[in-house]
Amino acid sequence: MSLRRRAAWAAAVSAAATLAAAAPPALAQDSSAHAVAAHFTPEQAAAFSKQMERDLAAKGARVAMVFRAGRGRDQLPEGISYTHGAFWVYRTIKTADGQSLSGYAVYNLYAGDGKAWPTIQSRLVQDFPLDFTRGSTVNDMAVIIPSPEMQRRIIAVIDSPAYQKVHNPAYSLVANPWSRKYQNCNNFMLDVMAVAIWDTDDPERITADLKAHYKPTIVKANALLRFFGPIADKRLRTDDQSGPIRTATYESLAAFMKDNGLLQESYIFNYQP
Amino acid sequence: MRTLSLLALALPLVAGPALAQDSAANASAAGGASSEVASHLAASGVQTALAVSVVPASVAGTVSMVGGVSAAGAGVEVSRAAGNSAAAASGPLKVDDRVVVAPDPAPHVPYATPAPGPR
Repeated sequence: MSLRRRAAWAAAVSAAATLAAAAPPALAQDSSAHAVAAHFTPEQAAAFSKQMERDLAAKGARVAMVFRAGRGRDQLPEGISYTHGAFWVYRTIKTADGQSLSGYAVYNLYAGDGKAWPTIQSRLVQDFPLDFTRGSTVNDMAVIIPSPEMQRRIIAVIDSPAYQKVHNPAYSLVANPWSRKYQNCNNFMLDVMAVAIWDTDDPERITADLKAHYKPTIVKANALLRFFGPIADKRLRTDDQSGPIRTATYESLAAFMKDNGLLQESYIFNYQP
Repeated sequence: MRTLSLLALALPLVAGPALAQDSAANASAAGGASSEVASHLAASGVQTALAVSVVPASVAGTVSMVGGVSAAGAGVEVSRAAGNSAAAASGPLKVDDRVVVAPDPAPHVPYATPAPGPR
């Protein structure tokens, strides 16, 4: 990068940081809207988001599934390393001053923060990478880059009415992907993938196909209550579970895609100070 | 420095709640404020997004989901979606150095807020 471009980048990051600092803080333990964690300074969060974008772009990823940890690792149940995931889609972004920029837009399922909307309901919100990294409490994010064929299919689904159709606004932190009762951010991404894989937006068919092919992460109930119970309030709903508590995570999503030849690569991306 | 000062003054307009969703008159005023903020941000190198383009048709691929129900059912093989990855791979993509922000990334209208009464 030239000195001039470095200076421009530094100015942009500084201004973005000021903007980020002005936004209201919120808890960042899950998929809550407006999540802002104290782990990164706003400048670091802006740099981290751009590092992630550049890495995805270098790999030719037009869509990726990116995961952040909104709680410290010592506060997460065994087998769960990340608490929020979303699609990062390569787009042309029109700016307020009429420019067209190339970069990633982020497609999230956010639970309410209890202010903008109830905590047990979710909405689909498109924002940008800086919004994503601001909610991270650790120096890494996880990435799943689908195979090019799956990338094309997923983007087609995101740009179709099926994207809204498979959204279930009833939110649970540990929604069961084998049930239709509740949904969280990872289950939503799994459902979007299912539409792309099986060419159907029928929820019943999707659930049947996932039961046949997708193996969810099993969360130990003791760990669940110990880690999530104190902060989870109404969002810890488990009446969609029968037997062990099943939910979708980065780990089980990556395994499903690898096992079925749907994966280009999955990896952990570290912040570079 | 002057630009950053202006930016700091304008930031509360970005961070604060957008309460003008149900009133045409107020919505117009809010739009003006957003434009002002956007211009300050742009002057500082941060780009405020207005819109995100849909993907070009050549990238979107061949799946058509709109209202469709396929003949596929439970147990159908997943391999069809795996495709020919090598043939479909694209090269590196370009990412702009500038940081993009959304002036209102999520709705800020409290869900319990009653609709304004008739004037």
